[in-house]
Amino acid sequence: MQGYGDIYRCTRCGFCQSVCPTYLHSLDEAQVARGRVHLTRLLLEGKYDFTKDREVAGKVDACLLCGACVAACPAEVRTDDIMVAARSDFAANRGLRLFHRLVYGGLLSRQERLARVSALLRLYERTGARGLLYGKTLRRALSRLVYFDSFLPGGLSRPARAGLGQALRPAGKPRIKVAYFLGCASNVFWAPTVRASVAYLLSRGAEVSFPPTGCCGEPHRGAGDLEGARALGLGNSGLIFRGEFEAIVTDCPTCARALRRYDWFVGADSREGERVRGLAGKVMELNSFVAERLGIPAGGLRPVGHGRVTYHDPCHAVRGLGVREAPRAILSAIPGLGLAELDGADSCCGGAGAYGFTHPAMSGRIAAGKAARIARGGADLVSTSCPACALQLGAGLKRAGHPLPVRHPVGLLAASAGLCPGGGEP
Amino acid sequence: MDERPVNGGYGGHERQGGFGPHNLKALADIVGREYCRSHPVDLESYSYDSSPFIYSPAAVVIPGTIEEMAQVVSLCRRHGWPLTCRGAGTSLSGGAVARLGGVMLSTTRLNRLVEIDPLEETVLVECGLVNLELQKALAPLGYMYPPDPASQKASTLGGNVAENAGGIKGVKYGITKHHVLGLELILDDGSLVRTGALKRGLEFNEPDLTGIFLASEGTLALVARALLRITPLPAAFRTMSVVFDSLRDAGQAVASIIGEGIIPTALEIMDKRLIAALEDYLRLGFPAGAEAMLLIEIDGLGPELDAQLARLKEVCFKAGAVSLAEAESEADREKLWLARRSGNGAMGRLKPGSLVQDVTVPISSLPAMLAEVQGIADRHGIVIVQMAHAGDGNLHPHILFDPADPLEYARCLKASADIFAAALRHGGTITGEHGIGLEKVDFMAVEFTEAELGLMAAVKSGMDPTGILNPGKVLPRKWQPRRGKGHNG
Repeated sequence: MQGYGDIYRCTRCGFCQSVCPTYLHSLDEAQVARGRVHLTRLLLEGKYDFTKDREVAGKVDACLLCGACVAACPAEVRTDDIMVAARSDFAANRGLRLFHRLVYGGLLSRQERLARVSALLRLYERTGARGLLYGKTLRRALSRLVYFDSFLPGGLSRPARAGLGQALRPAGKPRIKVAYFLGCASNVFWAPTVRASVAYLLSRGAEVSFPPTGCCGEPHRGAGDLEGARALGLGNSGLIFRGEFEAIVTDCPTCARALRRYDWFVGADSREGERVRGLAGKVMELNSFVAERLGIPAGGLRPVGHGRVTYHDPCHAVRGLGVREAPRAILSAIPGLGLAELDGADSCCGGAGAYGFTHPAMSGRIAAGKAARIARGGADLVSTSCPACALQLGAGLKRAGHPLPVRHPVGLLAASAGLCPGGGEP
Repeated sequence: MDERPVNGGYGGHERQGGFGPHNLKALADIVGREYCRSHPVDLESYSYDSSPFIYSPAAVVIPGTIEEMAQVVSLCRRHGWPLTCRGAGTSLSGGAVARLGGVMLSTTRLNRLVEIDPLEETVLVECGLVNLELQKALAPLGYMYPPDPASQKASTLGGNVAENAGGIKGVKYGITKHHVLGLELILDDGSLVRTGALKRGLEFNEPDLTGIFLASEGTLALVARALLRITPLPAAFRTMSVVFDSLRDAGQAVASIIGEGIIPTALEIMDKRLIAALEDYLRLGFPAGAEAMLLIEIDGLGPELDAQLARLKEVCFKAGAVSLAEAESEADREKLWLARRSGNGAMGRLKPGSLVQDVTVPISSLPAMLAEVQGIADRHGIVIVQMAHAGDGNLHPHILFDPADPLEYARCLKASADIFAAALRHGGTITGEHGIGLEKVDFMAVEFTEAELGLMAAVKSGMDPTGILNPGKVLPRKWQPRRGKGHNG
């Protein structure tokens, strides 16, 4: 048992209650960081058992890993990492949850299968199957399926990777050579955003390559499958090292944070750990890369047909990578677009990877809260920088009867620069 | 106290006997199944507060209305079940743990701000509303609710009333009891009564019963709603941090400031270990190696503050201040107060277990008392981190221990007793704001006479003759009412 770090630093002061999304949407002490840390201590002390206490595993699984408690904790107890450690000990003793075995191990670790799932989802969207779900009788019986269906944005396109082969060169001499790390969710659900982002990078003189990387491994790590995460970390870092890249860019903050911490994935003290640490400095989340490395030229931008945008901070961007200003700078650069700050912009949307599927009730409650705040703010466009957040916000807004487009800032910037009219619209 | 340290705390960790399905159903019928818990793993989360005491209840209910809350109380009374009421669970003295098991009633869902009345300068709130949420609702209207315990991010107003919470602004604005105009209470039989007024202008010249429920710690009745007095936000602030060579000098500066007739909004002392722990957390640029620091804030209309500040500086330097820094922006100021409020949680950086004492002494004794606490730490060979709401003589020595070391813990208990004795010798009291809870029960007989305890016991027996309300707290066993029926139904 390791990875529990500073668990004994928790004094149960309760400050995490003011930020923990699962607590704020349940007002239940069993759903707050302090309570989870307390239960984990009892596991370590042997009162409960990693081999059989399912209820404790359930409490540990119900954490979003959003890190809000860590930022608010006077003792900096890293509850997110402690939950991962406990999940891995549960997994070692009880095996992984079926969902994680099927989806993470079975799909995300095997990219060729992921493409086939994407094809199935598109088929589902386009045939009558979807219409059936909304029929009256079935609707009640299949309410859970309707909930899951709300995540599909409509008009799902082919995976991004299908159209991206070799390195793409800009018009003139390249300013910088970039590896674009394509995450699973971006690949399947956010292909138009990926294409818009790549178009923008090319227009700014970057040469963009697409190493045939797999899943970043963070879903596996979050589920406690440290071996799966390690294998992916080793595989991906090998592929990225093979090319001579000045920067490794990804539109997914979860991937970016994972890549930055690959030494943890592969074992910080190992030889591989030493090797992948060299990678960390090159990894940049897309907004930061565009705003800070490439710079946003003032001229040549035009309105995108929306007046008031609000931005949702993905957990892994704002707390995981400290990205707060860059996306706002990009949005502010677009003429005619006013940025209205969202009340609680940096609180987790409840998407949290596949949390919406493993914990639909809690996830749905958090999404509804977020959707209500967005609606109150009066924006006609939502922007965020994470494919999972985008799906969750889109679904939450749709269910709240307040459907709004959700776009990546760089997708909107590409639209503003006249590179693709939809700005990542499907 | 014979409990053994466990899990960063101590207490009867084992469950105290479960509730039968029949009894659980009666509770669930009132609050709904989703809000009635009895699985041992669920109960763990309601077995602690911010103190080292850990006792598991037999069932947890989270009512959604005041009426449900009253029905739960009435059911407990009929069955003779012990009933502990809990807000955010931030008690530092064990006030919110179920010492005898039974039912734990959590008020977190009763969090409505019923009414803000700017004309009368009052708010009507439900017991589970979080202190900071009230402040956030008031600030845009230009108001504040002055009592601001360091736990205000989490702690509830019902809990604040039951514990008579103080706060950093206490020295100028007073503590909770100075801001409560009326209460709606649930008595032990479940009946709802009002004391004082729930609407300004409806006060009668009746005996002031509200007062006895302040700091009653849920042992007399449960607070359902409260009418609180609010205050216009000051127009301007000045905040500064002053470094001293010793705690005693800092204490002397406090005594001199109050002696000069200056009433700061806040006057907080921090010792070197706390300064280092907070620096580690927030990187505020506190001078390395500072022995003691005073955080001082004054507020008012604005123009008069500069002259006050000049006088404060003069007094501090006379008392031996080494250096002095003013907060230059609102962000700087907020960071200083975030630092102070984080003191309790930041102790986790130093040692996993802590007992926080809460003794209060007359201001003139403050310098001597601060030095005496340090002496007690040295004598017992333990670590005591000192912070204090110095402006009202309220010390918060944090006695740190490792729960895995029972000998160290025993030394800490001895040190606690010495600190209580010293405070009483200086003409002070054993608790300024954290309450008696479980932690200080044994010292009640030291502070109060038989006659005084008898009066408290008479009030307790009158209000809660069967002794179901937060049993084991505040009064020593001898003064507790005899429990009516057997435990746990």
